[in-house]
Amino acid sequence: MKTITKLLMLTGAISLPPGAWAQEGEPIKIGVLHSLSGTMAISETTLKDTVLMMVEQQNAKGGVLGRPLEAVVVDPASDWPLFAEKARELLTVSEVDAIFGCWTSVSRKSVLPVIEELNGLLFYPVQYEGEESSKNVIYTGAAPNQQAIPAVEYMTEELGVEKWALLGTDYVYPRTTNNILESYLKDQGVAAGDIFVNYTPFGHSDWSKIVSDVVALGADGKKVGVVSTINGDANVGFYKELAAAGISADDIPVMAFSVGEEELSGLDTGNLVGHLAAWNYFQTAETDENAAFIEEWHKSTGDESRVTNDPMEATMLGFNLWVQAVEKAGSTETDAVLDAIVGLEVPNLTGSTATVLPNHHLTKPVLIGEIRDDGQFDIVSETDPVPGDAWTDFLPESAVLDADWPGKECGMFNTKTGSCVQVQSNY
Amino acid sequence: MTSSLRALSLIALVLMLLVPALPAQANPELDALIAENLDQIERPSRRTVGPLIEQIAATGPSGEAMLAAWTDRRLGLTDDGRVVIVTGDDMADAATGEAVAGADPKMLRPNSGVRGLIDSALVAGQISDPDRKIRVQALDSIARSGSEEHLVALRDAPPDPDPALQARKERLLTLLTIQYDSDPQARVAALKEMSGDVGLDFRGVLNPLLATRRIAATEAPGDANIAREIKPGSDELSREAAYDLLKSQELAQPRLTMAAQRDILIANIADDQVGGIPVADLGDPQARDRAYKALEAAGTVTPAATEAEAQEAIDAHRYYEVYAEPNPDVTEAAKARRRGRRCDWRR
Repeated sequence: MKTITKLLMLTGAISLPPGAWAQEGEPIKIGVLHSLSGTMAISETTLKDTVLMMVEQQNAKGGVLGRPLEAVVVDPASDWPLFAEKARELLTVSEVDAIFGCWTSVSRKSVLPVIEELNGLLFYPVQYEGEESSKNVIYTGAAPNQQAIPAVEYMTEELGVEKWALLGTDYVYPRTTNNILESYLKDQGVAAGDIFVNYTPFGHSDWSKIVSDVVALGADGKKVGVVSTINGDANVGFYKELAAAGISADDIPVMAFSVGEEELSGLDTGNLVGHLAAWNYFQTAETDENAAFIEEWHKSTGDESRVTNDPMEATMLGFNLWVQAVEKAGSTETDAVLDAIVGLEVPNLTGSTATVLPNHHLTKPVLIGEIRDDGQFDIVSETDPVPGDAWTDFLPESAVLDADWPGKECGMFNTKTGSCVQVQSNY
Repeated sequence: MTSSLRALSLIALVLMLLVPALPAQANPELDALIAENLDQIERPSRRTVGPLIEQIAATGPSGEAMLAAWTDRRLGLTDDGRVVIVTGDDMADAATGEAVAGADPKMLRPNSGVRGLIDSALVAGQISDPDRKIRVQALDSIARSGSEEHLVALRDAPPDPDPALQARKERLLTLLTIQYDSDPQARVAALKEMSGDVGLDFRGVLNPLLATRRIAATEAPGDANIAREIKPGSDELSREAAYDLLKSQELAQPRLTMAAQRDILIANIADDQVGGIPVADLGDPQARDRAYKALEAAGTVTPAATEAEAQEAIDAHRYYEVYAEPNPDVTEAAKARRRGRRCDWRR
């Protein structure tokens, strides 16, 4: 009975304008939805720490709208359905105004129906496969045109790669990305016979057959390159096997999309030197903003050896954009914040600016790094900021789609038929 | 370790050259090259930087020292546009050799494609280096991207004191001879020498020699090295594929499908006629073709081939597979090697 009364009261509160209910100085709550246990904890715990650092910094500056911020941390434990439950809990029980969270695409897909039903707001900080635009998500990581496509372009132009091995772990992100890449390469005139695609399960360890297949691709005298969407610890065995076969990065370069500073820290990187990764940020970026960010990070964690990485920058960008949008809207209410956020700009850590686009993605520069023996990256290429494309131009069925929330109020708009295919993103 | 050793020895060499008369040893040619190409040096691209690397190498030892520092990522750019070689805590101007103090250069990080080009330019001087490790690196670099210049350099190099390296050098020399020698007989001889070899490096050389492309022509092309003739309508070349080939060589118009032809004819009906042919007669495909021809002649529609014209065009041409390699002796020898290898493998 008590609960019901409480619920009724809460429902009443939601329909009132925020100022009428909230007392001056009452904290604004934000949710942190990152796995702190299970297989993804190694990557996601860092992002939880990043949000907490940002909250602390913001509170030191006087909070938002004159109110302090309070982070509500939950642990979805690398369990995809649990992500949806925890998101519901954050929105209905803790009543957070924004959620910072998710890493794998499958966890994001699990959360989508919940935040769309409850009109929540999620900041998603990881590079992903695209083909999505939700009204309730701001994607602060890279879309394929901000990572995968430029990386492959770089391999063609700068490394002279003519024959391609697309190796990935068997789940939605590698499969979608490789579909896009295969279609892109064929558009560029690469013959079907010069593209080799292979998927392996999570945690795959026996790479000898696959590596010898890749090496044998060079039998017609063409330069071979590997595009790796291999995820997690399977990478270790893969690079080891390459080295064991006497293959260096100069012979067959490997471009990875899921290997960053965090994944390399604590690893013997001797076998990886010279191989590549494509991101929108590397810790070695030489800017004042980055130096300050790293210093804050070390201070906040109390550990000088903690590395920074791309999803951390994306988390920081999402947080700062949210703060700016709330200040601009004068409210933390989802629709008001979403109205305010498109077009806002914040400085990134590599010397340019991140702008929120109408498709809820950001502008981001594309960086290519070569792995050094200390586990950091030498940045060998950097572009101007590229606008993120929700729907890739390289798959015919998605080339006609457009996402435009302020203009068309639709994340999946067919420009050929001039109609919104669907508003919710349960595709 | 190796690269820093190599760098040290090169620096030492440059310093030795510089000691007698410091400013006089400045390299004005290199200085001018640097000034003109600062952008390229700061952001080099594999596609375009090749000529600049050759020019820098041609300016002599200081140019080579600069290249060695560049590929080792010890080359920096100062705010006032000078290129400096950084060695530990010391800096020296790449063009004048003068020590530079108090500058905070931006270190240059050429990508591995560019470094490959630089390494390849430095190779000639390294094949006979006293340091075995540098000789190994030089041979690695040639194995990755051999060129005609490397063939000359390998040929002129004295025999390697290390038998294993000498064997590797000879193998590379044979592989480069197959690819780049100007004398076809030398190439054939080198191919024979590799008889029975199944190495990936040899296959990488052999297969491009035997790469073919298809062409269509009315008679056998006299100047091409023909692998064989193929008949249209066979398993290897369907009539459809033969027609695509004709289109790609602009020997035929795009084909008009029955449906497209019908739609176009319907769109051009005037006074119950199309191109002078009564609509009532258009049940007959030949009449449709005539009507379309009339529209083509009048310029109303773009020319396209009717089914009959397409079939005629396919039969009027012959189809060949020709080698990219122009010399028939070389392709014959390469074919024999490939066959030979297969036999060996079966045994």
